[in-house]
Amino acid sequence: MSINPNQFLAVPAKKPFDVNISTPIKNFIKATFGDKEDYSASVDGFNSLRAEALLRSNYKDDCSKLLR
Amino acid sequence: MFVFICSILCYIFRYYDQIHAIEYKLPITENQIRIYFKWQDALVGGGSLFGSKQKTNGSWKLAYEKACVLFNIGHAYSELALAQNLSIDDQMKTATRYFQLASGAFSFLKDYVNANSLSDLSVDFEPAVLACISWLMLAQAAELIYLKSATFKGNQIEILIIMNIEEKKTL
Repeated sequence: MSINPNQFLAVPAKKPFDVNISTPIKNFIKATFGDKEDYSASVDGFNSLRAEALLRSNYKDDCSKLLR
Repeated sequence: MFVFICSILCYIFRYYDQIHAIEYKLPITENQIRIYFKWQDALVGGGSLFGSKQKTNGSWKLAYEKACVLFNIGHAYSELALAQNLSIDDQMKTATRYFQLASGAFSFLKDYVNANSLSDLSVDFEPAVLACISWLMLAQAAELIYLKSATFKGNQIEILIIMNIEEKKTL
């Protein structure tokens, strides 16, 4: 956190845990609609988007711990 | 730091959009698509004086994931506001805007949490806590406007008039 001479406050972040969202969604689509179309790439993309969006912010905290 | 938060915020927005799109298309509940979303609380509840630990809560609902992502959007906005250099006029204006956006995010989250009855899941989602954070962010935006207007060579009444106009804009 940047040091601010005026002492404004920021809200702390919620920390996510890694979860595999692609397998349950793939299973559901397969069970409901069959597997005529290839959708797995999109679902995997969604999964990696979650990792990119949420878990990378944890990386920032890890870095600050290493620097300490 | 600023660029780092911006790039993360960009991804968080894309992820939020996707969740919003699939919310009513895929039944992510305990009985159908079983995904357990687990998050650590941002705020410490419980009221022990000697540092109680942050709790970890989870839920099978997609609405919980969406609410948590929204909370982190509010967090990112408040961090962006802090990352601004307040000695530059333009950045001060940006910081005010970011505080207002953070306030809006938490205020929306309060309604969303109420509508989906998520407030029992985590101390962060207590309506009173969210209302408090939302007003705090708005108050910080107002403080920035005050700091700016206090540097003008004017009397107190002019400052009050500026504050009044800005307050009407935000509400």
